[in-house]
Amino acid sequence: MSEEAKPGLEMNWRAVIAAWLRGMARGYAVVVLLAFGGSLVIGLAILAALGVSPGQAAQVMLSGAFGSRMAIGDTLIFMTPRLMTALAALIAIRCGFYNLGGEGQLQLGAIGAVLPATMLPPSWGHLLLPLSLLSGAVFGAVWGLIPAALKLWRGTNEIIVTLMMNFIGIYLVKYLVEGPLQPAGSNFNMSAQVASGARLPLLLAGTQLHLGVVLALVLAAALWALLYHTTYGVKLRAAGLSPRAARLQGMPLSRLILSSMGISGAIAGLGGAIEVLGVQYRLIEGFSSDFGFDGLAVALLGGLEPLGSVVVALYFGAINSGTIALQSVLSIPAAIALVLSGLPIVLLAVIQGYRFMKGRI
Amino acid sequence: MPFDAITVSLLLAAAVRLGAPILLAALGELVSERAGVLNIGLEGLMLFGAFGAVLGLQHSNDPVIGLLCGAGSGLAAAIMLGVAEAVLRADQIVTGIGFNILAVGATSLLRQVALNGSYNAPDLRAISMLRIPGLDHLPIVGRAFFMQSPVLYAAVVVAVLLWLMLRFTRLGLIIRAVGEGAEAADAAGISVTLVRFGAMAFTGLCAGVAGSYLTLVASGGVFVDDAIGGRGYLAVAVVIFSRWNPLWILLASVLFGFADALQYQGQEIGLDISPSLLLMSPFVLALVAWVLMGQGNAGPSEIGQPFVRGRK
Repeated sequence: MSEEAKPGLEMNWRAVIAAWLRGMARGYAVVVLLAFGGSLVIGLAILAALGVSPGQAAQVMLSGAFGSRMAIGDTLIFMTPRLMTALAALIAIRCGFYNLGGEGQLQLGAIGAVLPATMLPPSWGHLLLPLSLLSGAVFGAVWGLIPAALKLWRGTNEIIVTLMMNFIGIYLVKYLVEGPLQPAGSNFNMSAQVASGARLPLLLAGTQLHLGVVLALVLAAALWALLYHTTYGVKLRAAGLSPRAARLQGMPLSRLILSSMGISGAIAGLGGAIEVLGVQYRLIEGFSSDFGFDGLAVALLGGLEPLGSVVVALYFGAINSGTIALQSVLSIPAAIALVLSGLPIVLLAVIQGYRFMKGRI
Repeated sequence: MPFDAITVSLLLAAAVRLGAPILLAALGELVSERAGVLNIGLEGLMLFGAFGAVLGLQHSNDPVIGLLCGAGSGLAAAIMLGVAEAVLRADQIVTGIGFNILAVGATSLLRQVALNGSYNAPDLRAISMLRIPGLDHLPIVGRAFFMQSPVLYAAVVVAVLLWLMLRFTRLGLIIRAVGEGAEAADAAGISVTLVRFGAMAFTGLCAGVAGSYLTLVASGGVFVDDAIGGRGYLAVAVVIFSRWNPLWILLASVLFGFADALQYQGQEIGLDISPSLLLMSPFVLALVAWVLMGQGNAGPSEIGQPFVRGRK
């Protein structure tokens, strides 16, 4: 490691807050609100076109997302995997590495978790939970390190490699649950149930809310501290802002990319493990409804900030539980959740692009 | 195991047939990328094309009109994407990702609202099969290359034309100039915005046809949610490791079609491999090919960067 803490690279509380406020002043928060507002307006217009009064639709969605203990539980369950993949995406992108492979890393993490949780003797009891979580994180990290290593050694474009590896991961899960991990005599494409000692404990009586949500929130806080309160975080952000300047400062660029992708993959993998150990209790084909891409969207809308991502992930969770209520109460296809997830990203990118063109950022 | 001329001929024919949508989409993507736009939204464009084609088919009962509607849907979606990326300079990767999520949701929503789930498709042979008389009885290659969809023949012609166009014409030079150095092209009086917008519109047209091919030719006029299943992303990869050359894309598409074909015909030739692994194989193939070749320096140097005069 080269010498630490060059002048001008130290960070403290006040500087962090000041930087964040400057970002606000530059209007990022307003832009994000505009993107969300625009999407909701378009979404309500679509609902109106489908013959539902927007007021009624909004009310059903709100009560489906926050109206009861059960609704809040669902919203937080939907939030958790998306927050995990968002945290995974942002730590890599902040280092300048476009990791679009959260989906694949999540799939591998689920595989990593289900192996110890179904294969080790159930008598190991609660020791199985940390073991399975750790194994999921390791599997995800390995899947994340591959594109980083390929980029450094062979110069391959990480965007395309990570996209390809998503599909490899998805089909790997499909292969495993159709064959090697399918219990004898079963015709369903799923693994055996995980041992009870490997399951994440439930948090709230009457809901399925599990400890995973706490893990995700703690991780968000930890990443924030890592980014803004450690030398490593400063270097990582510097490398992302300008790889050239970082190299001239003597920063070990390849080591930064490798380590940030290791962390990124581990977090996404942990997200997959949490889904297996907290929600499904099995490895199931298609357990992830594009959590990887949703997470990327959450991270980008959250300004690539851990705390911003928490807020946006909550929105995504609420959209998902709200549209399920829309489907059951008003028979509106739940696919509208995808419209309401994709739209704000496009709008945000358009507004930011326009401001860039006009020289405002 | 029967590994005779007929089996080989059938396998090759399936490889070419299943490679066609990749070929079409990749040719479209090629033009965008040569003009400096990394069009990740290809997957979504194909999805709109696939949906539009089935919608057109259901309303007209005519596969040709279905195909035209598919192409039109791809074009219309690409115009929206072009306004965002080429005109308003939205980040190409971010917009593409959002657009793809949006496309899955929008087409699923539209399917449930506008498509008839129990529709019986008419005879689709008008666009799925055209025999070239005299050549279709050649051993081994006859079935593979001369008993295919007219759409595929057209795609091969387009590939050759694109190669000539990019290499030898003024338009080709302009497109490449915009991808290699937008600043210089701008200084020479070329409208970077217009060229990129036009390139993206062309991509949309090709992607629309590719999506239509998937629903009309490859799956008998049925649209299912997420009908593209990653082929758009695969086409983006094909373009890059074909080194932005239309003729290599032609070859690579057959290779990927082959991997796709094996999952249907693998058992006939005594290949006892899980279908999931075969589905995975094109993506593994793409990755391995890449690792072996390395990235090199052949790409348009300003790919992915929005152009704003005077700013880097």
